[in-house]
Amino acid sequence: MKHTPEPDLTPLDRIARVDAPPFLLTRIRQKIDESSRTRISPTFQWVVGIAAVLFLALNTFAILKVTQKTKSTPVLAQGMNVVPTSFYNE
Amino acid sequence: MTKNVRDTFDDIYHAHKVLVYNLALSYLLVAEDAQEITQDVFVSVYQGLKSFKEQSSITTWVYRITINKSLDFLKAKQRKKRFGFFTSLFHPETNELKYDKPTFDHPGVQLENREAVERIFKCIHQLPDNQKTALLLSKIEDKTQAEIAEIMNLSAKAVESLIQRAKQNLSAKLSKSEG
Repeated sequence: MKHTPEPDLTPLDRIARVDAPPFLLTRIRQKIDESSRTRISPTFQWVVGIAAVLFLALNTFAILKVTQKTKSTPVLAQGMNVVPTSFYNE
Repeated sequence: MTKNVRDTFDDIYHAHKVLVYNLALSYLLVAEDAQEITQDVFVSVYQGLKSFKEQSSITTWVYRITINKSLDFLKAKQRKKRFGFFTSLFHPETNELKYDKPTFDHPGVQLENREAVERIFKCIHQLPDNQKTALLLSKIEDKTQAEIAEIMNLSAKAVESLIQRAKQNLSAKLSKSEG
């Protein structure tokens, strides 16, 4: 195995730990307050979600009902003898 | 903020502010950017406080958030630089630089040491993210391999090899930058 020399990192040992600026906590609190004000509550998210699901379900149900109706219309018309299908054949 | 959460948060802030700020400084090398990351880290800590499951210690959790936020910030900065041609960096009339932001402004580095530290840091920042993180935690934060393994969610053996590779790559980069 090729031996590589250890890099000289001694200048890094002379880095001093610095304290965080004192104004940071105030800014953090401000950001937290802002984010909690703009955040949508979980209850509201659930309500919107359920409303969206209901809306979709009702729409699907309505579409299905309409297609079923249009399919059964000729049958119904024939049963009631409203459409004289045999008129031209006679 | 409710009183109880606020008190817990304040305790966490006072116990970890130096750690977060200094680690962010090691990644970003600019005091202003490190302050921004420190704020973001503690906002995330506050928001995650309720869902924090004590699978790891608070300190390990704070370390992870700081590392992820710093790496994301660096990536975003890199992306901004890459698409920098969309906006001119110079004033159209005077031809002077519009944004003269320093690339190295570490308040913990003394003036006589600055050049050497800046050169080492610039080489460290050319390393892959995991090697960079392992090396910074070991050299700057003085963490043991076991502690680094916990923070990085790796085995101690993997950390050892990461640090070894980081040192080899750094050695090559430093000798290249000298020559």
